[in-house]
Amino acid sequence: MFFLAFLNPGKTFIGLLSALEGSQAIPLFIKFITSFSIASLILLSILFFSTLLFGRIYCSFLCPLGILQDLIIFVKNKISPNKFKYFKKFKIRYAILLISAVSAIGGFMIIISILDPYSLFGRIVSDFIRHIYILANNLTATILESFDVFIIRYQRSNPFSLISILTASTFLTIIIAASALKGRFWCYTICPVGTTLSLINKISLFQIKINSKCISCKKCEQSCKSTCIDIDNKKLDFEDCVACYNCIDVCPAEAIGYEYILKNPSNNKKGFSISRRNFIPVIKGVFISAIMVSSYPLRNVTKVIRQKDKNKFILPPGSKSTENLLSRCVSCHLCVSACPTNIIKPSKGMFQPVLDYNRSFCEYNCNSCSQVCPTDAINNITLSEKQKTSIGEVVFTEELCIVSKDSVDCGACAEHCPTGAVVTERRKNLNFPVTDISKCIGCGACEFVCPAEPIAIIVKPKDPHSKISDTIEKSIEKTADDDGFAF
Amino acid sequence: MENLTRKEFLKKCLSVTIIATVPSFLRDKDLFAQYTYGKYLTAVKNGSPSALFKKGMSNFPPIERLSIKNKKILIKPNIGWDKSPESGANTHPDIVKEAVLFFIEKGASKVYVMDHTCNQWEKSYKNSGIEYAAKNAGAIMAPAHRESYYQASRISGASKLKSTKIHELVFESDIFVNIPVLKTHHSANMTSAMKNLMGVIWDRFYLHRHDLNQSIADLSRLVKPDINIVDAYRMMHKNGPRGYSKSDTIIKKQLFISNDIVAIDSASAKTLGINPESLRYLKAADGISGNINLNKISIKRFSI
Repeated sequence: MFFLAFLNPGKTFIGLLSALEGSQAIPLFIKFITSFSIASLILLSILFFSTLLFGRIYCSFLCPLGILQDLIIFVKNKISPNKFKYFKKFKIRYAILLISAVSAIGGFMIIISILDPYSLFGRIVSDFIRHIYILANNLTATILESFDVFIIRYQRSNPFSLISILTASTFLTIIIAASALKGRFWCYTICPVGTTLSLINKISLFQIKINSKCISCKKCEQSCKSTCIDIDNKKLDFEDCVACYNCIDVCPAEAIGYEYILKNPSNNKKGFSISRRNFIPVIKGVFISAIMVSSYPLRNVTKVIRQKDKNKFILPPGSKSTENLLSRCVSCHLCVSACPTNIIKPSKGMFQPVLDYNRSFCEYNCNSCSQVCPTDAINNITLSEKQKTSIGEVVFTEELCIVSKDSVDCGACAEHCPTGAVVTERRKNLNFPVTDISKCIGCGACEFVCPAEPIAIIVKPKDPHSKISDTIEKSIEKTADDDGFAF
Repeated sequence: MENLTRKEFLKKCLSVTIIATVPSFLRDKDLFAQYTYGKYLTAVKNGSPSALFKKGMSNFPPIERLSIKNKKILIKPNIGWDKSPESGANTHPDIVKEAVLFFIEKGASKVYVMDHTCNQWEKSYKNSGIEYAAKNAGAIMAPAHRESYYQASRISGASKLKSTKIHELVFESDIFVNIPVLKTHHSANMTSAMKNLMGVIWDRFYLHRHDLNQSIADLSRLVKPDINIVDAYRMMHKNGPRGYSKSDTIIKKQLFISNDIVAIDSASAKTLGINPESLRYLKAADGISGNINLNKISIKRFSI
């Protein structure tokens, strides 16, 4: 389901796509710290409390990278059965979490975008797998078309970027190798989401435990993707458990399952355990929260870095400004795949979306990118808002124009302009383009279609985006009187 | 009758023969014919798009001479823009629907509908309402967004557009039906039948680069529709070819059908209040692809 939605986000039912990406941990977190919206707070709370109750069900049911790893592990199991062994996890994941959390809250997004499982998955699909998918799609389309069957449509793929493809395929190779050999290696060693949830689920109310019926057959340990079951000591490190339930499925003695931990008599004292072991995670949580809150003011410092590329690129409508885009984008590249004219490309460096008017232009009747962005880096704006959002400004150089140079009519620019920012005026019996920047939304149609070399009309970026006035007449269509034929 | 001498009889025979043969000898020369042979313009007014089409086609004589059974038909409406039918930027979907039905009823083996759009092709095909109308009527909506569908062609006699790539359906189909919508245009001043032909070529920007008006005239030397049907039901009388608001269009309720592309554009221009002689592409094609002078064509006018 994730694969299909990510391969063709522009065509996926928006309700499904919103549900899938709106439930992702890091995007929700980013949305919350940049907007403090009630919706993101509610969803984050649901995530928090569900983990507090049942453990890391996010990791097995919602995380796309988790589902991908499970697929790889499943396939590997068919080839040669998994025999996982318990081992103590590396502590480096806490350092990774600290660094990525501080930098994310502090407004420097590159670390979290690389490590966030959702974004990583998004890039693997958008920058690499999608090209293969489109190739297969187009091959099928070509074959069917020779029989006059046009159900499958030949499509253009995302902008081809060697760096993006290499990065995405490298990460994919690492994930495949790590999963096949070590199960959910990413989840218990690197993933900042996993590490955060592991701090929460250490005190979750329902935990998977091994009971007295255990016959030490070790089937559960061998099937545990998180390598968190230690049968020799009859213990299960629930903090690492990703709630895949393989262990419960394979146990022949019904010796493993969810238990309500407060029922455990050794811990019971008025329903609360006040032993030191159970307080440590709480203290850790408070400590981490303190660090997170104090990193927030860093955003003003990192603003300088985000502003460095101000006015350099044209950004998708809804992104408001370079500042807004860079402070929220996790580079999942869902927008890159969703754009119907494929003009969004990941910029060099931070991999964030910019528009390329060499490929095509921003279609007037489209707001796909703003609809799919999970962090509101590209704000979800309505179509009519988008049609009034000015992301750039037209610049016309008459000396370079065909009409001026060759004394013939052209007008490709005026023909394509959706708002009337470029029209023509009659001079010397020719139709010369003229511009009105108060109507320009910077869509790039004029730039893309201009046949002059060098190009005579371009769009320069506008930062921050502004709104054009509602100059389109609210008018009615008249019916002609029946005055007969004009000839 | 008095007796003729042999000389007088022979003279009379000769003159009768000459008089009898002269008209057939000079039949398709403009100088002598009142109307160009076989060229007609049918104009209909005051009806719904479907009614206009039906009335027009049933009163367009060249249709009777057209062999449609088991033939492949190409219908080329204006689907250039991602705009709704109410905007008047594209051909009215009802007219496309009726055209498809017409040819299917007459026994066509396949009816294709296509246009190389200016906006993103899937959005234009869909939001214009034409894809739905055409498919429902039984046509095949053919894509036109890949260069591989087009074949290079030389245009002999052209002065600016010496060669270009034309969509393969133009060559593969037996009958080519050109169905533009009547609009003004920022640079060409009007877009009707001749300008609509730009939708069957791959690289339209070459035409914009090399004297748009002359290139349009050159194109009409090679691409010759069998029938042109101008949709003037909802006419864009200003701010064409896209239009910005409802005041740019007017419900005119007219429709023209002709097998002379220059003549139908001449009639279209007059309908918009433009002098046909002032349209450079029309003037350049006059006498080559058709006649700008409407006295040269047999016009039938109808009202519903």
